[in-house]
Amino acid sequence: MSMRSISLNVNGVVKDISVSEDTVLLDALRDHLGLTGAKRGCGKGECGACTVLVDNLPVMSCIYPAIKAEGRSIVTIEGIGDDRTIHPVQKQFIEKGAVQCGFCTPGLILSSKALLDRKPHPDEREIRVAISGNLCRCTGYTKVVEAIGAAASELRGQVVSSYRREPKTGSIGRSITRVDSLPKVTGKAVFTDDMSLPNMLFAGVLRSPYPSARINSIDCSGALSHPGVRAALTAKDIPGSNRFGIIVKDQPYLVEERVRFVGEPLAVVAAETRELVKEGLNKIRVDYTELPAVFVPEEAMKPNAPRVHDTGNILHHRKIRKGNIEEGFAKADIIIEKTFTSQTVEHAYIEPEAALAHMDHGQMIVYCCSQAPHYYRNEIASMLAFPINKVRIVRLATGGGFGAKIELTAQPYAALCSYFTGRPVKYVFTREESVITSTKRHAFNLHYKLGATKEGKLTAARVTIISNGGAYASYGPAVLTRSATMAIGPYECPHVHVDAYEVYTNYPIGGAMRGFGAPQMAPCHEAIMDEIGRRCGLSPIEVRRRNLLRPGSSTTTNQVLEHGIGALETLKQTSGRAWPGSDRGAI
Amino acid sequence: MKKRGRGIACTYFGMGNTAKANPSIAFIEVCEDGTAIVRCGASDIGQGSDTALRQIAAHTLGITPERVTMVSNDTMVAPEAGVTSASRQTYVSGNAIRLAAEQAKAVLLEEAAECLKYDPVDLEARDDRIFLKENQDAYVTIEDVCGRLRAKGILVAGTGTFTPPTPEALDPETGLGVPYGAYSYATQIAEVEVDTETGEVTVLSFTAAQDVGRAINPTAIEGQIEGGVGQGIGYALMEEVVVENGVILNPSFSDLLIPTALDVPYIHSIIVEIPEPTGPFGAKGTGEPPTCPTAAAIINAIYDAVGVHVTSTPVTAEKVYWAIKKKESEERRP
Amino acid sequence: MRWETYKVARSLEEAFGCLEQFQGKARVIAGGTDLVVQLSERGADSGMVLLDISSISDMRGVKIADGGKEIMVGAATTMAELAQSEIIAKYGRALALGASCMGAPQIRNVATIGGNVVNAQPAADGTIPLLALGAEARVVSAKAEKWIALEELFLDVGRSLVNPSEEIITHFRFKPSAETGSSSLQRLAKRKAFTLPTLLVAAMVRLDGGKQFFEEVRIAVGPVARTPWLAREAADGLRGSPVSQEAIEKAGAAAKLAAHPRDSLRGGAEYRKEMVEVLTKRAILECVTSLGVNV
Repeated sequence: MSMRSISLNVNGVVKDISVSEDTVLLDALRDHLGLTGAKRGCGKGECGACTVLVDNLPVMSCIYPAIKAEGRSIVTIEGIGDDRTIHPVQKQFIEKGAVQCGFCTPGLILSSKALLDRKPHPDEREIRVAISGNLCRCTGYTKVVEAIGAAASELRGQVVSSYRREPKTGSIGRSITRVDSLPKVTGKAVFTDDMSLPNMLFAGVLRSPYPSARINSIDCSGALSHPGVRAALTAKDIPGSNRFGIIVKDQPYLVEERVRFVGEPLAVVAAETRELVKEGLNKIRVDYTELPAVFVPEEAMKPNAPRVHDTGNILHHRKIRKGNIEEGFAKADIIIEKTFTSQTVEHAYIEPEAALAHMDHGQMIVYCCSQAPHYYRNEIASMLAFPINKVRIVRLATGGGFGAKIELTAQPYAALCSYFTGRPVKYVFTREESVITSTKRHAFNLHYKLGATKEGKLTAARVTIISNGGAYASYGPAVLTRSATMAIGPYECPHVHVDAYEVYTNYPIGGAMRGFGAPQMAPCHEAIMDEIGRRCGLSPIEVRRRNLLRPGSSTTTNQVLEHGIGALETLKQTSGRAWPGSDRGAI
Repeated sequence: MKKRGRGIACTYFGMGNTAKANPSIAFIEVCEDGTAIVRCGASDIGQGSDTALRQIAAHTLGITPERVTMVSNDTMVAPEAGVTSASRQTYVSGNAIRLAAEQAKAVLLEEAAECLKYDPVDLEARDDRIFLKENQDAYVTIEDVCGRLRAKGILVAGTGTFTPPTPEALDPETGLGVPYGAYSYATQIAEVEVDTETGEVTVLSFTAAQDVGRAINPTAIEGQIEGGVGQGIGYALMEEVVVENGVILNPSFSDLLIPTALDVPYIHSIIVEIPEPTGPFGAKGTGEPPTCPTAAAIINAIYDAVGVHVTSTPVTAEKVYWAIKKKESEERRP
Repeated sequence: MRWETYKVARSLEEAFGCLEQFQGKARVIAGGTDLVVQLSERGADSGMVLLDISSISDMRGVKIADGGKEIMVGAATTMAELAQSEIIAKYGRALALGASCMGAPQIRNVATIGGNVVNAQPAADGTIPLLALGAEARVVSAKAEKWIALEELFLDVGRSLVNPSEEIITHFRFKPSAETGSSSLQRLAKRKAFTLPTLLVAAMVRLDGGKQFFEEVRIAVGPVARTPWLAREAADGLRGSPVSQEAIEKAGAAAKLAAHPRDSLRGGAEYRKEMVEVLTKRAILECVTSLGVNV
């Protein structure tokens, strides 16, 4: 691949850089010009995190050839404004609270600015269309739209008020500006892939294409002899423990014998460039024997099902037995049964997992995105057989997590390679790798049977939850237990039976995801509540009002609640605002 | 034809890890100019914990939040504060920081009491001053106090640790017990429009009330509510990882759909404050609760609009369409 | 490696010179929003040369030509430009609609109508409206040029008559909708923006002077086959019919009968088949209503 010198006009300055013919504009900006504000969220022009302006038009720089950009004017977030010359769009993003993790923020700001340059007075729909190519996973877009509208007003010369009713003294209850907002709107916030160290290598992992298999042998010799490859490691190379897990340590960093899910790591390669990593991975020879697999939890629960783990496929069975269930149903005038299935869900944070590891004075330092730096520290110490105080985790700006960045992802592999090569090693997931390997929101199969009096008061609840845990435990048992406690929603019911099962399968791993079981169950119990209301002649508001927990109520686990119970108040305030005809006074 | 409907859903969510200790620890150092450094390893992943925790530290110490620096991201510097999950950081780390700040403040109050010639119990610290509760004009600045302490060779620091008051596991047979020290409650109302010929669902408006105990930073809390609802809308209508024989068929954003700005309406968030006695200044967590009832509210709204129950999520247009067709054919039968 | 060499041509002569020079190893790229992704995924054939023709000014822009008898669209015109063009809005409305909902703003600013057509997908947002509008493509090689009707252009998914190593589509042309003509596009997708379609139906109708009868009808649908598809029986059935609800419903039913979609991540086969009927009826109805006719 020949290199070519090109001239790019970026933020008003013309720079000559030497790139390969197939470099895309995003990499030219990030790797050659040090402008790391534009981000790689997917590499395929499907998320907008890489948005920059070319001749005043927003484009996806990750699929825009750098050579195509010659002769055009390019504007990146760094050219919009910095802390001394902040642009109204950046300012309003900060003021309106439109910045959370910050990874999509530069792209959003550039799309917004381009809109306002063309249309000084956009309506809400025009704003939303203009940013429809910028995926944001954190904000829900409401404050982003507000910020853009406010910036439009400011640019038209109007004064924008930021009135909030706030306490006059003290800090509690004040919507103070977040300290990390300014770096995020100016593109200065450092996410892991924005950082590089001298003499750095790149890492990549070879992953199983089979959901269930035995590994007979892994031959890394081809990779090791490939030019530019500096390490090709398998399970036997791990100095310490090859088991991790936030609750149950049942998961290997690198497979020894048994593969349990598609994408499970088998070997890790470190090489001089990302290309060479790919080439090295392709040279590893694995001898597999495919084994029977099971994907459906009900199948996996049967006695003759293929065993995902030797300990058996039912990882956990959580029971709740409150009161006397037969008595409860005997008291019911209405009994409703319902089954419900929920889907497997991806966290889809816009920043893919990333880690940069290096050894410094005998200490392993890992820069990474993370929701759990101390947990990472302890596990990596165990993996390397280091004392805990010889591992240091530095969490850089993290582009969303929602539960999946509690798990170890890129970090152990970067650390392992750095340990072996003695050089800094960076490992950044592609979007596909992120989706294939990260933990998921558990898919639940639910069966509910609720009983109520004709006054609409719950008397009995029997709930069965079958959770598809996937190949390893991750947060499964905790999600299960929490789900059991929340199974009937925020209502009082004297007799409750819950049987919740966490089941191993050869399916993507279920782990922590925002809501921990409640999102899956609420559609079922809330539909039943409405139905109970209908059969009793009660509105959806009233049937809930009669059952919601309040001081003195006992929960599904027989905990008596005393204070801090806002259920009725939230019902009153939402219905007062958004349910015409509801009687505020009744609540 | 387009039909509209309205649906409501309620959920609740326990704060902190279920029925087990999940502690946080925090260190506070007050410098000689009255500014402070908080060290607590609570990961800010965009939800704004660094800011809210700074506010808790500032309010407890009596200084303005701009005079507080928060260090949370380096395990060499910031001590363990558990995982950023279970909506626990405001509640657990917030309490740890408050306790650390109380410890540091006690030293400041002692010194201020000496200056003002009163007892520490007569004094209050706020907005960078320590003053007499009965007469705010009798005050000394915190900067002054710190300078005096420095001159005396006294360094001001505090340590705090907290774990929710639920250290015991639930009974393995009955599941009964106290899983959480506090709960957060949510009610949400969705208004939808269903295209009866295609099954497409549009969320026209959304209202979400979240009981947060006490709002430390209201804008940040609204951000969590709106973000949670946004994810909930995606979960309700379009999100799904499609797996066949263990293989994920849609690993890229072209077919792994999450909401765009055109899929989510303006979200009205309502902050409800009913103080949580065990939370810092009455506050509890908000990270997860807002995403729990969203899909349920939408599904109930769809029923209100077109009288059909879809019994699996995501509720795609295709599923709604077939449910409507099934209902129509059942209604035609005599 | 995505490609070996990237060349930019500023004129057609330069473009053909380059194609000839590289003897089949070069291929044309316009916006690249599809092609760059495809090449990144599969890796390039060794020695591949990309020839960027998006700067050839002759190939950009929308004009009323031939004394008002045709609309001429440069193949390197971006989808955003088409979406904003007053000429297209007035005379080729289905194309304006398709161009405005394809992809996302950032994609529309770079993707070209020529690239959209040559990518030869059965439900392309540019192709389906052009097909309904009865468009032709001007396919040029070093030695020859010819106008090809769009319905003859496609061979299979991802394959058209155009050989991107030797030929370039330079323009599209179609008849502007008349006083009594209109076109419409109906799009069904799993998300309200930035999503490939579950189903696309474009219709073009021309009524008689009195706006009582259908004189000309074209209905294009995708994806219901391996190539963009015309609902010929449905369109034939409408021609000559009085403008009425029954006629429109009949056309919808006929289109549904003849369409054979398959299952995919974007929709089930049976659902799509049902939607062919729904969207066909809506497309025709919208054309008719936009002409001020009530049914």
